[in-house]
Amino acid sequence: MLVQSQNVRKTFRAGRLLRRGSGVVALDDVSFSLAEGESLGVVGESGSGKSTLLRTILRLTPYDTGSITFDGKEIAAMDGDSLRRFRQRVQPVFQNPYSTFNPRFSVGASIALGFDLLGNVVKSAIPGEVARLLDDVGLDPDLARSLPHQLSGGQRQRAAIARALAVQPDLLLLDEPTSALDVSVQAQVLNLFKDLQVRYGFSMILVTHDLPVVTFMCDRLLVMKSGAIVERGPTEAVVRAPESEYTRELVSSAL
Amino acid sequence: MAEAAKPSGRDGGRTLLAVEGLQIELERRAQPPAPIARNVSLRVDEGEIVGLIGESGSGKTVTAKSLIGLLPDRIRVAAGRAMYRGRDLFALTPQQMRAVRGAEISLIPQDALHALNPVQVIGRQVGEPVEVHTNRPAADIRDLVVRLLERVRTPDPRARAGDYPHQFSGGMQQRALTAMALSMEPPLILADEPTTALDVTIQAEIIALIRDLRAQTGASFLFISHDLGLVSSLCDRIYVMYAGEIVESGARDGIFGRPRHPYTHALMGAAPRLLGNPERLSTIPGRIPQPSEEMAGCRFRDRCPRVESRCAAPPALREVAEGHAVRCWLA
Amino acid sequence: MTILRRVNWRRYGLVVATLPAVLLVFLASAFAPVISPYDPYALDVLVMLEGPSAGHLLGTDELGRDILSRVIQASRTSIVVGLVAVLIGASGGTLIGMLAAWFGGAVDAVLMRFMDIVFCFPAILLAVILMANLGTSVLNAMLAIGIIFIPGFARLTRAVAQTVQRQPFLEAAICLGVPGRRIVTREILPNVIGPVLVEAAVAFSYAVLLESALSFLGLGAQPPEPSWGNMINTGRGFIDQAPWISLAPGAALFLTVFSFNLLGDGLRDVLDPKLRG
Repeated sequence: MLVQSQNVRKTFRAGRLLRRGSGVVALDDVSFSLAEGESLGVVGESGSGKSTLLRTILRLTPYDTGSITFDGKEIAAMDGDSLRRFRQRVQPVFQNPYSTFNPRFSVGASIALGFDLLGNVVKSAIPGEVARLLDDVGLDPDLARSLPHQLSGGQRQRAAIARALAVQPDLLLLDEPTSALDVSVQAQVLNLFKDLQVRYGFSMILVTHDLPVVTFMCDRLLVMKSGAIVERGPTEAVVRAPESEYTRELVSSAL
Repeated sequence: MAEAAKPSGRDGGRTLLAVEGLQIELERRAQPPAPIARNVSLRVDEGEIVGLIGESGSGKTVTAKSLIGLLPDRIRVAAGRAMYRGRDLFALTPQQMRAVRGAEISLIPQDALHALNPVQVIGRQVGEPVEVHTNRPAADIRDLVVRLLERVRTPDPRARAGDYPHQFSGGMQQRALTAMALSMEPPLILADEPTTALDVTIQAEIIALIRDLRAQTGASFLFISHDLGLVSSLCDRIYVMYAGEIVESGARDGIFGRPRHPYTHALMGAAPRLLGNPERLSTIPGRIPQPSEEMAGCRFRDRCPRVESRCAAPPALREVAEGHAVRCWLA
Repeated sequence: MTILRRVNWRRYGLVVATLPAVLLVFLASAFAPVISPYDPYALDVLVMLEGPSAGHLLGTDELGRDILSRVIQASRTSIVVGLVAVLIGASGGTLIGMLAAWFGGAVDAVLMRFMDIVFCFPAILLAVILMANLGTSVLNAMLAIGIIFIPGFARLTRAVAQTVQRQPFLEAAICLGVPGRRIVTREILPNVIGPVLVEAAVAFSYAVLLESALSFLGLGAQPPEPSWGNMINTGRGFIDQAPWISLAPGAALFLTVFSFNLLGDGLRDVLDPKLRG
């Protein structure tokens, strides 16, 4: 198993000064696993804990109890070299294409950062590698010189994918990667993820509120509500015969 | 006027709004103005829910906003008429337009949180149009607000009227805005992507609410959206916009059952479905042209899978079946 | 003509417009001995309190010294005080603000409460305290003004840095494994520099104004060393007979403060990446 999560809990305390009760339970006893090369969809509405789950796997938000392992190693225990290696093997693609790049740097410079950190490419070869990546995600390599605000939303999201791929990750974590895009642009980006997965062989966890996006992209599905997993299984089976009341509601509003 | 609206619509309902030959332009320095909406004609009949769909850059939002005089700086109506109950909306003075806005035609905006004033209670804001347009006593307005909140299914409306916007969830805020839009019982309501920021199950509730409101009040809706699924489940008739032009219009079943414009067709293939998805989604190559880009012939020509030599001449919007018009030579 | 049309005026317009005044002030102070028509310290009892004339363009003061030469000489004090005070304030404040934002928690609380305390001191009071201990001098005036500027820059830096730290692009950098120090210098600092520069231009004009106030009170430059503040003060006694003694340094002060304030607004346009071509 590439990722294994066991009984993970996370509570956000509401206002330290007020000391009011237990706070908000963002993750409630979450257990799941992800095999290599697999695509897992996590569906839920705002406040369901799906984004928190993604952030805990990225080690951006610490969890309270339970365990998350990546390649057999507990991620909370990583530091120094092991943390750096973990960082490069797990890459996010975020929702908002407008703030996903530092506005002060060219898109090419932001993508080059990954090669620089990995240190597997000589400095003089980096621009060529950036151009190759841009080409892989279907962008004109000349766009490397552009500033983020000069690109369209779809172009920026492609460039964000290129940045993530620069460090050759084993796992991509996608947080609503297409929900800010137009339908026709979404189709291009979703197809791109599928093509790149075949070529690069990474695994994916896709977090979204959009059930049809998951059924197109993912083999397996978790449905979350109020921090807990309420249903799981092969995507098509869950959609055809939802068992929980909440999943039924989701399926019927997507029809 | 080959593209003029026909006077009769659904159930023979009377025409409430008829837009003809609307041209909206973006003024630019040292360059000729760029048309954002090109010769747009559309019609909303009484009691009808009409969908206006398109992607970003299609011109759908400016088209709607022009009707109530809310165009941003440097964007203006250059030509056309918008006949509403015998008056041309584009010919109104700012003062006359203020009397129309909210009372005759109201808008449900897209971003509920930013559309509400964070330092005023919900009840006050919902009652504001009535306060502005009439001189009804305050107690009357308070009662009306409670009834309005009830109508949009706010639980415990009397107590919640005293809440501030941040105490409302996203769906509740959107309901409050809907209640505000309804407060003067306007005959026409423009809804600008009112559910885009909401969760899917809440979206379904707002859609059901709009349907109920139409049944109860007989109001007409112009529903602006990029979401084909939503539009297909809600609207009686649909206009599809692309690059500033209406490329297809017709009854819901006609458009979704048998889309005739290659763009409409491609848009439907691009949206993933719940079941039975293909291995790859069909995509539209290239990108939507900028308003300033003038092209000879059909504006979809560069991206069209079925392009032919006659597409070099601009196609007109022509009726191909009863009430179904398409701007394409091949339709 | 074509070059004028190629310039992005929305971005550079304001800076270009303020440039003549800003350059005038800097060049005047840099080349003061060369361009001054007279020795600013030379007394000439024959031309006491003389109004503007061809010989003395801005007139003379009560000791017969040439006002124009003294205004030019005084600009050196103003510029040096402004530059040094802003340097102290901006570097100290940026450092403290970055530390507070990056470490957060207790470090943030302690640093920012300390800043609140410094913020409470009026510049004049702090200057008086410093000078009571260290003696009156231009150097101490710069120090006092610089310290007063630190909390403003610290708050600004902290606010901008905190906003940047919440942006997805910063989390993307963390997830790439970029080391902490490099995140601070490469990702956060470039976003902070812009607002700090804008603030610096405005702070510079404020420093010039404060230095004049201190000199006016006798706490800055000491006679016979001219400064706009002590010149205005001197002119106060002769305001009926010789208003030019106060008016000339007053106008210089106004021009400097006004143009640097505008420069601040102009820099904001230049540094906005969205206005780049």
